[in-house]
Amino acid sequence: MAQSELVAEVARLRQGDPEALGPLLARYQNRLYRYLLRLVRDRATAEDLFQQTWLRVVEKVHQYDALRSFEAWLFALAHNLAIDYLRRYRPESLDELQSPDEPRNVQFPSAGPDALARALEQERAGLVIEALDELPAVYRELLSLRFEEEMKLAEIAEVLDMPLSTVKTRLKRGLERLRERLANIAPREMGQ
Amino acid sequence: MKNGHETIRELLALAAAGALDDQEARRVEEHATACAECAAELERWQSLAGALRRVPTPQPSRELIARVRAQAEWKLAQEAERRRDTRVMALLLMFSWTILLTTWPLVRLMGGGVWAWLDAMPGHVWFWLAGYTLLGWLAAGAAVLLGLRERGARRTA
Ligand SMILES: [Zn+2]
Repeated sequence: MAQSELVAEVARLRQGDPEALGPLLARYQNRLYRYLLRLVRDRATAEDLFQQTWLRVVEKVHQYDALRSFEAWLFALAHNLAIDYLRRYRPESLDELQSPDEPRNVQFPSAGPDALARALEQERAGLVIEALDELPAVYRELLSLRFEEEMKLAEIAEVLDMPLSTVKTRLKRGLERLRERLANIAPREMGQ
Repeated sequence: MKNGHETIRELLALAAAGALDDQEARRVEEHATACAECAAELERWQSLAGALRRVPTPQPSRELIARVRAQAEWKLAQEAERRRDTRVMALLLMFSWTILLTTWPLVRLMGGGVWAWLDAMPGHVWFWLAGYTLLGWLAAGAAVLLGLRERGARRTA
């Protein structure tokens, strides 16, 4: 992806050129939509937030600091809109935002690593999504940003507006929780 | 011991996520070559990370993209109009203040003193002065109208 093209598109949008919208939208539509869908888990809401995010982009693009990452800025706008939505309509899904970092006793139950291995070997993507969907929003979001969006940790910290150390802690916690869930789901799903 | 088994074990998940700094990553790598248990565990984390990367990407519908694009373009035009209005408003206000502030010096210049001027001012000077002041008021009025429209637009947005 040519970085200079992106810079030029953003600059044109800042000048109010509507022709700049198409390329920018095309560049980020799939990723932004996927991220929102992972976070809120239903299509209608993700579509609504997707729309709101782009309107916010148009509204605020003149405030965007061109020296910073446009991607992080864009995802941060989406993040804030999604969190506002969740806070208002599904506060329970944010519960873990309050104290998600308490050490828990992580253990991978009975079936243990083997069930995980089998689940993953079978390339059952549905299984991973199912396990992902059962995680608290904080972890779903973090895992999506890291593994699907392939963002650097520093960028994730910018999007989520949290210290790098917290990003690391939560990423680890999220992976552990996901593995725990997978190991739980796998035997069930595989008819054992 | 700093490179101990337990310490490294805690780093394995983040190692698979590519989230360690270079030094930590090297420590994990070195330990894993010597410790079969950690090597196996690292492999499990890596297969989990791989599975996460392979989760299929849901696509937004064409209709959604078309709708969002149309709305964003409309909003962009609105924003441009708003910014232009703000600029015009600032110009109008500056203009009306200039007129207001220069009225008195002009009167002095034309009449050589307010009393002489009131007594002996010919009709056409009155006319021009009134026109001049009116211009200032009109500019101020236009600025106010633009301001009101702007507020209305923001309320309905
Ligand atoms: Zn070891």
